[in-house]
Amino acid sequence: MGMQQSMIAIHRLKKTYISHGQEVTALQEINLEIPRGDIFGIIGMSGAGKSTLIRCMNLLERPTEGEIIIDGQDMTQLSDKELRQMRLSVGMIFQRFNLLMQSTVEKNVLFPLEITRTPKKEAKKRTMELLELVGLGDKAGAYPAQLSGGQMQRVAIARALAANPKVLLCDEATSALDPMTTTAILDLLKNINKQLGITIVVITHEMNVIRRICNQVAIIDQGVIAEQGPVGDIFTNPKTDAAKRLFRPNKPETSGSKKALRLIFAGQTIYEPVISGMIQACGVPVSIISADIEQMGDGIYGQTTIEIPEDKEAASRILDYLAEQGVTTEEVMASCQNHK
Amino acid sequence: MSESQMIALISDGTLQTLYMTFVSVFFSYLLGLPLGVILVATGKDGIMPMPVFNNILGTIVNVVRSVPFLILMIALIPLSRFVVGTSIGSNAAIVSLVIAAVPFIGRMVESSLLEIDHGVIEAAQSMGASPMQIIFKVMIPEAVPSLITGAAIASTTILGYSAMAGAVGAGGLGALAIRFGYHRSEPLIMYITLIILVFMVQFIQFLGDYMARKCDHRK
Ligand SMILES: Nc1ncnc2c1ncn2[C@@H]1O[C@H](COP(=O)(O)OP(=O)(O)OP(=O)(O)O)[C@@H](O)[C@H]1O
Ligand SMILES: [Mg+2]
Repeated sequence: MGMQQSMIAIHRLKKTYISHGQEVTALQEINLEIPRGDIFGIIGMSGAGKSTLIRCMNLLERPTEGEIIIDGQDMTQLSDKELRQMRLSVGMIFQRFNLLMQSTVEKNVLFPLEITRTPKKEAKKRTMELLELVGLGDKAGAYPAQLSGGQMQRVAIARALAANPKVLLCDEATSALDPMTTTAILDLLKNINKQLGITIVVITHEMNVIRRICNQVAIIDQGVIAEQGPVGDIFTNPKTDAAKRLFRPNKPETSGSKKALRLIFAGQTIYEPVISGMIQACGVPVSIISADIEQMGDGIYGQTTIEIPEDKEAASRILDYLAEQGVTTEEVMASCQNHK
Repeated sequence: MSESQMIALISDGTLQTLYMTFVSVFFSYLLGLPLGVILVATGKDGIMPMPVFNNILGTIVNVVRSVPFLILMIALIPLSRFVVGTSIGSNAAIVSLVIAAVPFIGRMVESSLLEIDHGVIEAAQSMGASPMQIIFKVMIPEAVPSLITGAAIASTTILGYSAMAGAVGAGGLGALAIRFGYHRSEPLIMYITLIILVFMVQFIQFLGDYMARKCDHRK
């Protein structure tokens, strides 16, 4: 993919903080291409450098080295004034909403329009449209403290969209919300992406967020991108330990001593009776250790862990059969008490 | 002394005290508010960090604040004479009161502005707000309740200073209390002025608390 196509291109980004006279390297060397119109997830454990990375994108943190190119503009080369201009096209929402607590909902959404000196009448009209879009048409006169967390994040989203940005950066935007509210906010973001075509970057430590709305995901670990690609691909075939830790959390297989086989179903295979077919075709009974189905990006994925038969020949028949059916397999260690 | 004379003295003193306090608070805020904003904005984590300038300004503020008010008054006699043409009376006292109060108010404003959640300022920056827009559209509006509380404290402090200024010829209730209570031993006038001063402080504090509560939308 060429540079022209990417909405955001990050090259050799490095960020070190000086903290108590000591250098702390938050980002070692980040290279990332975020396509136009995408919902791009960046996931990582606490302290991995997620917030630092997203804050470097709009230069809330100044990178120590490297380039941040948004829509063809290298953000690190801009003067203060040019940077402020550029920031109008990069909206941002935060974990703790960061609303003006002494201003009404309407005034909050008006804020970016006051900055751009939009004529009053037009600004007011746009504000009402945005509040309708986020489902808060009746709350214009309320103060943030009178709203729930989910409603406050909706106001923040409306505010971030006011200046018609091309990009929306979300730093743990749902981490302070309960699961139901999280789902509603994620659906709203997905809608905004579809309706307005805005490129959305989502920073999170929650797998559910990635699964629900992201098309592509990058895994950040100790200041580097460990792995990136379409969400479904990384789910079916995580290569790095960092990806496995995130995409296969707390599965019984990770701690056992018995050899087992994990089958990953993607696309059509999920709807087919692969296991019963396998038992018939290979003539060997197998026991199932665990199974589940998950929504990932635009697809549905399933995984089932089965015991591998002692008989070497039967085991290879099973592997051949599964390969024929287009099922991805992976050998894992399972603990014995998880079946029978 | 006749009753009507006494009433005239006291009401005249009260008006003078109100005048000194009000005018001093006004001019002190005219200078102290920008001072507080500059202290915050140029601070280490401010929106326009200027560490050297901030240090120099902070030191000047601390030096002025550490001079006891009465000594400052006396030291400022030449300045008062230059600004208002006289070194005695209420107007002369106002010059000293303002100079004594500005650093104090600067620090009060600074602490009010530092209470604001830094995230709100960052959100404004992320929306492309300039430092001036952040000061006028974010920092000051968000700090209004705290600024009002601070103004009540500052006003009562200036009221107290103005009474002290009475000792060096400023007029007002302080001067009455000293003249009649200390020099002429007419304690009744002193007690009445004391009661009026207490009442004024109570009223300013009550009004400040009430207004701060009224315009705070955080709950
Ligand atoms: N202002 C700062 N000064 C010094 N070190 C910092 C600063 N901000 C972040 N760091 C360090 O940089 C590293 C990455 O921090 P960052 O906040 O980006 O992580 P994160 O992935 O967002 O974590 P979390 O999920 O806990 O928010 C951490 O080691 C952190 O201690
Ligand atoms: Mg973070």
